Amino acid sequence: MLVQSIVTGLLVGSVYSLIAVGLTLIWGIMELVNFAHGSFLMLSMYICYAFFLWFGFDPVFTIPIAAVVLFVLGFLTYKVIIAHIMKSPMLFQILTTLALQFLINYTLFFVAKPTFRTIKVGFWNGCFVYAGIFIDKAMLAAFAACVLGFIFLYIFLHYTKVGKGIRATTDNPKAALALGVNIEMMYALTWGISMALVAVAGAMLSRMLYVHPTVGDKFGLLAFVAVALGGFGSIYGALLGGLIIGVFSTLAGVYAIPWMKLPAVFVVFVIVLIVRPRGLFGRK
Amino acid sequence: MLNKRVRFNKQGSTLALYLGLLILLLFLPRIIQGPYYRHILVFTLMYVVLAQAWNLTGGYVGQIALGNAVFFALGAYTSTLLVMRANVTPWIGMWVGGVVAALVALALGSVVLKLKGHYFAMATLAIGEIMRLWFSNWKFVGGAQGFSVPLRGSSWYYMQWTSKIPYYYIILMMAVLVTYLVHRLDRSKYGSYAKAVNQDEIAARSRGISAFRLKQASFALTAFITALVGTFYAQYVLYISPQSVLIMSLSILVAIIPIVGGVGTVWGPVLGAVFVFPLTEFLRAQLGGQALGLNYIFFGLAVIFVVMVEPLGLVALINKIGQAIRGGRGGAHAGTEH
Amino acid sequence: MPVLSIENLTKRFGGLVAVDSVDMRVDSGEIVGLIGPNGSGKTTLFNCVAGYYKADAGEVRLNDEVITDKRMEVICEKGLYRTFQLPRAFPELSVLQNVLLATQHKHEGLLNILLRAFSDNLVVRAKELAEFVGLERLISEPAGNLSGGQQKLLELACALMKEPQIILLDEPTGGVNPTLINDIKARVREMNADGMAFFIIEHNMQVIMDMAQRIYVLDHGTLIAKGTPEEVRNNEQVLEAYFGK
Repeated sequence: MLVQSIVTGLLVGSVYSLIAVGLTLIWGIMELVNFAHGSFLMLSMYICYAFFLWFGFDPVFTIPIAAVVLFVLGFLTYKVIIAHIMKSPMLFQILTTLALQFLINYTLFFVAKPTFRTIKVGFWNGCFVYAGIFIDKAMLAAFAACVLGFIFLYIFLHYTKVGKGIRATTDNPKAALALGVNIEMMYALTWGISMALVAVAGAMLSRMLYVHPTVGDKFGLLAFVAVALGGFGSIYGALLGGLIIGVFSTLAGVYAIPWMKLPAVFVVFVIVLIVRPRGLFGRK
Repeated sequence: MLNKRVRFNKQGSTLALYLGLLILLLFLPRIIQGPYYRHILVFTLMYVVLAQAWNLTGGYVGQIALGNAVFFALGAYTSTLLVMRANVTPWIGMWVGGVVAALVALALGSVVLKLKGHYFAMATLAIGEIMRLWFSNWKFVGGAQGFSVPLRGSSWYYMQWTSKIPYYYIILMMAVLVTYLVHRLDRSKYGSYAKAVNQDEIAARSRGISAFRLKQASFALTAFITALVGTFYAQYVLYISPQSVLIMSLSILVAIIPIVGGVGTVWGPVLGAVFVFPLTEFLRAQLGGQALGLNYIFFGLAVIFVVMVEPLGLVALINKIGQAIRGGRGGAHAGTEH
Repeated sequence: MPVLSIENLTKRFGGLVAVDSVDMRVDSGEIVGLIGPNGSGKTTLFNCVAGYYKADAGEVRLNDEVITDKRMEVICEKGLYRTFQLPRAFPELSVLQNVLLATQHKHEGLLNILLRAFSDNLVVRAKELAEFVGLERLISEPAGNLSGGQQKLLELACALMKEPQIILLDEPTGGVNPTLINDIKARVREMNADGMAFFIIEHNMQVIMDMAQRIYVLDHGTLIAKGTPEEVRNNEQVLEAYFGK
């Protein structure tokens, strides 16, 4: 049972990690907490649902489309809204992303109606058993997608000019500026990348969960926990944090009372914020 | 001499304005007929009080709480449980709920108020969700289904009426009283101390102000007032559940309203609620009543507008418009204005 | 009995000892200077004394009452007022409100704070203090609009509003133009003539040698010299610390 929980937890956690890494990228480069993160996830799920509805696509095939759409959305969100509040007091920054969450969630409410929708796909369904452990195929697929996502991110950040620009700006904006990096573009691209990663996670989740305007909120909050645990600004931290939460919440569900999965995680969250706000690998 | 007279006139005209407003509000139910429109009035006033409560801790002191639904629910559940299990009138249950909420705020605050900015916001968000999930699974509070408040027809003892009018006057009185309270607090030392802590906490503490105690007091007061509205809500809607009183969107909405109206001001929460709610309801009626979530969309847009155009909110915007009008008209009087 | 007595004060940051077993005192009515090269631990010392940092060892007494490890707001109300190297004011509040906020708080109960405004007496006194430091024309101006030097003067007014036993000034003339420096010197002297004790960190040698009755010299966290300005001025170790061998 323990091993089963850990395996399941890791699979689940990989999705949290991918969502969290987007959050930590944004925080790392511009010290902004994106309270609307979960809403973008939800958008990706709806895009996949739409393509499923119209063309019968399995969300796996919609990933590229969702990633591109969300990249553009993230990019535009920065340019149109976030760029204007970079110098505002924190109160306004917090409330702007909250307002964004409202806008996105409730526009979907308005447009798509709050009915629960499901995507029923044919392949990568069911479980397979390995050494007595049940592995849900859909979750394994999600895990694979997230691993790929991380690999792409790593390659992007370390081997492309833009990626290096983002890392430079995150490390030392003034130096990056002096070296000729277009900081504004880095910010916008970070938002874009962040949302593209979220899109991948969302696509995989849409195969397993009900699609609904507020489905993303819980994941947004879990992403906060992952980032807090791993350390704000640390990508490895987000990765680790997500996995830890995945395992922890699964264990809590199995060994404690099932509905305590989430509250247990949130309690840990509050404790981490108070006791070690820097998290495991955070800076400052 | 001339200055004094002008100032008195200004005070006099402001007072007249308030009185006029009050009279209008008192007669409003006569003018506005129909349960739907009256419902809008009641809801708008409810949010005025909730927004004022949030503003004390969020606008004045600067701790952005995103979990006030917790206190709202504590008020609603406390009074409902008391009326259901012990036949205690909600008029008393209301105050019990307020005290419970204040105590919870003090307890949580002693731990959580040490956090600042984003961290505090996230912690309160998490606490709100913890409570929602907990209550959704706790039989004592009715779990996910919650409670229907037992119907008693029209009864003062049970704080229930079949008409919306008594509810309107009760919430109107609460709104007026709370706004007056905030007005007093704004003018008192609290207003200065809170703003000081907000602008530079270290400076405030180095001047001997106990920032932490100020925050605790604010938070408790916010919780108390919010809980009172919770009881009102329970008696108005006659049904409470985690899905209706413990949701994140409620917590966020009561934070957004003061921002739109003008954070850290007396009239900000009022303007914020009054401008957006009736407007969206009107639009919703035009759109055939199916527009779900329109309120939230508009508030979202309003925040973005405020943040980009006029961060000081509707209060400041109206002031500027007012000044522009006055400046345009009475150039000769400009010198005597104080 | 000295107003302020510091015994064996030590503060470490990780492996670095910023303040090392320092003994100092300020007697009633004295102006005592604290000098030393950059990074010698002067502000860290102030921070420990005023409650910003928890000292790792040692004891600080204010009028014989132990104040080590008490919170900064408590220490302030007990009578030790401290200013900052980079002045801290409330930028959106007026100069008058800034001064008012520095009034004594220890007698205020919660209800008093919630419902009462500042008494007329306090407002009059605040205005007088603003005038004393020469800021009367800026009294309604948001403090954020003041120049650096004016903000230093504002800090002096706030210090007076508190009516403390001793005022710790951290580089009161730093970044201030020469005319204002003279103003600040004059105000400090006037306050001192009325009996106020001062403990002043200064880089401007002319200013501190002129004002202080006694001077302590800190280098790399250690007290290397103390005495009258003349004694300190000619002390070899001090010269070495500042100018090298």
